[in-house]
Amino acid sequence: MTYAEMTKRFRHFFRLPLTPIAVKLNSDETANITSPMRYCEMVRKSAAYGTTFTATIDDISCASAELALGFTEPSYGEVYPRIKPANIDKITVAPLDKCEFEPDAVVVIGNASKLMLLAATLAKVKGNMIESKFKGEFAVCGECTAIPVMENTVNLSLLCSGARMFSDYRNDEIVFGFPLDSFIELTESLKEESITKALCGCLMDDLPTRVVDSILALGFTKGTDHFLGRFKNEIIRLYIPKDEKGKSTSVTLHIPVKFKDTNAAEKALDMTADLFENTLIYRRRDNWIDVVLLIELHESINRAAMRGEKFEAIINRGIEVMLDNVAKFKRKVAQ
Amino acid sequence: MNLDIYNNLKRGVESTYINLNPIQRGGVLTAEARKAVLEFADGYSVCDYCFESRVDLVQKPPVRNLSADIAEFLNMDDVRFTAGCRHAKWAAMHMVTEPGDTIVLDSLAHYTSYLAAEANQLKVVEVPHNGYPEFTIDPQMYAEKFEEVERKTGSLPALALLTHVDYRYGNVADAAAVGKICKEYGVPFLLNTAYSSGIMPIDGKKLGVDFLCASGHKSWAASAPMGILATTFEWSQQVFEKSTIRGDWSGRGFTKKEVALFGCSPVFGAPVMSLMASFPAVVKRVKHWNEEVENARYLASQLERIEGFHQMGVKPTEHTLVAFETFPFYEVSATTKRRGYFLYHELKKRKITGVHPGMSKNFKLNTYGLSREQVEYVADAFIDIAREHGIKVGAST
Repeated sequence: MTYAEMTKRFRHFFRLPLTPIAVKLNSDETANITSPMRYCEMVRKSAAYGTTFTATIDDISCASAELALGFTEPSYGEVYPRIKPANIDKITVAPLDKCEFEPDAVVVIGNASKLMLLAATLAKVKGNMIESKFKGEFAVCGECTAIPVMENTVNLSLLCSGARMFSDYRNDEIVFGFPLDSFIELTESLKEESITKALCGCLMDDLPTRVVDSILALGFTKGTDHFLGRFKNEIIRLYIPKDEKGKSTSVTLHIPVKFKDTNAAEKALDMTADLFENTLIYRRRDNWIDVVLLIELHESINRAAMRGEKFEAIINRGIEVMLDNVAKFKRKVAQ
Repeated sequence: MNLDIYNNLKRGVESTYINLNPIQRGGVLTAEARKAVLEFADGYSVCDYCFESRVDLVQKPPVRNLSADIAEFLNMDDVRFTAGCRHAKWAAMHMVTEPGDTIVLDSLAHYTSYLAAEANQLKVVEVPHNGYPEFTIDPQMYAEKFEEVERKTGSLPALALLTHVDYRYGNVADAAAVGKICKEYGVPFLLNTAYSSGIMPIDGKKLGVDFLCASGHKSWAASAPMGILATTFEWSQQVFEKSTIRGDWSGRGFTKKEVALFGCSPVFGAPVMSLMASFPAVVKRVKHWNEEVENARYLASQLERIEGFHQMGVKPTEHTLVAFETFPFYEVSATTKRRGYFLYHELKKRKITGVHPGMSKNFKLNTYGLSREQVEYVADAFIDIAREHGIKVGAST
């Protein structure tokens, strides 16, 4: 995937108005800053207007950024975070989709709700929590550039007063800094998850996945509105009816039995009245009789399906009852 | 940008194939319509002699006559053309409801009925269906839902919508019964006839309909996008309300333009002309509806000879759109290289198309407009495929 493709996918997925920014330390580009700027200002301008900036130490108007980006060593004590050793002489900041170099870091600006989604997606990809270090100082330069470069880790920053006061960052904006590999890994994993595999693109029911999975585990497969499965030599249909309020507290099992014609089906239906106990319901549809078993769960299907073996036992017992009774029914009506 | 992909566009479906696609049978153009489409393919080509600033009032070609004739054909009072049935539903809802209102609709309604409501900021209350295997709508449930809405909101629903023929099982709902209930409660009644008007006889007055929405490209042998919104004199002015907006600086006004139709029905060329050219054939063909249903019933009876095949929905079917369970094909698909696509390819080999690729567990077919010979050929093809894959086939009854 090219950087332009990555940018498109990333911005589309996270609905970001600003472009992710590629940062290159010690770049080969020619310095192009007309008057000194803050590094964080270059980053935001680049993200908003698509401008590429290449700066030397003389072009940086913020002492914190000079230190954090490794242009100078601290005169006394230690400064954290910073690029070490301080051997940087030029830095390029460019929109990722336009960059023709391999970035050392990628900086992403967004509001809290969009970067929350980013964090959630990143956590899924990484399989763990997002740990961040921030203190409201040295934000874009240190927390979002130096830390990703030096520690090879993604870092979140709530920005610093310099960025918010002088560099045009909005009150609701925060920033993520990525080492390049982490950004690529995240971007390549982005997929617009379809909520359904249905051909029409619609959800046809509101059955939770665990309910569907418990039914599939019994040997059924899912049709559009119901489940089907072959048990012994019969295809049994399982349907989850809803009451008028939309609650599901029962399951019905169905085996349609075919007859030569409507009259034959009608005769067979007459026989059912005094042949069998009232466990099953027999309903004629044209030349078919639907044999139906209603299984009352006495609780919602969602809860019942969580009961594992107990649920399996209830349905399997129903399947046995269906098979026995339909076999008897077929023997009787065939006489 | 590779512009070559836009050259030599081909549909990829041979015209010599038998197409069973449920959404395409009623929209197959007549020969007359095919000619008209070419003649009026250019944008705004219907507007050469527009003297009234609205396409529905154009007299050459006779769009104005067509509006009146379609109204008569449906036994409604007033008709406009829309960009599809979904637009007609949206327009009716938009003009007779207020955001926040509640509408009642059947739980088999097309997704565009829900989306039209959503776009108009309406709440929906569904009339349940009776579940597997019939999936029918009990008209009486409309009354119950009206009362439920009134109890909860303090007023009756702003609109009731019924899907005359549902797109999933091809069940024909009892529109007259729902219409009667709507009249009793004073709730405006919108009937979605996407799968009925244009292929079967429809009498809007008999059904007690206030708004009738139709799909030209689904059931009137027209090119897409083509819809029809028909209403009664009672509602005509409100639904087809004229624009009252004025430019605050220029003073401009558009008093002949109808708001819900963006001023002028958005079907300025091929769609409305294909509808017009097919209309005489459509008027004739609805008289043969019973024969069409017979064909579908024949196909269902033949397919049900295959062990494990079972027609869902009302039996015998009352429509040409029929849904089948075909579990044995699903079992076969697990053993073939092509998996779920085996059926699609087996049918294609036999020059039959329209069963959705990948479907083998259950699928829908539409036999509308096929000759008995073609239906027999389709039935034989399915039976052949079943036999070839070791599925038992019963004797013909």
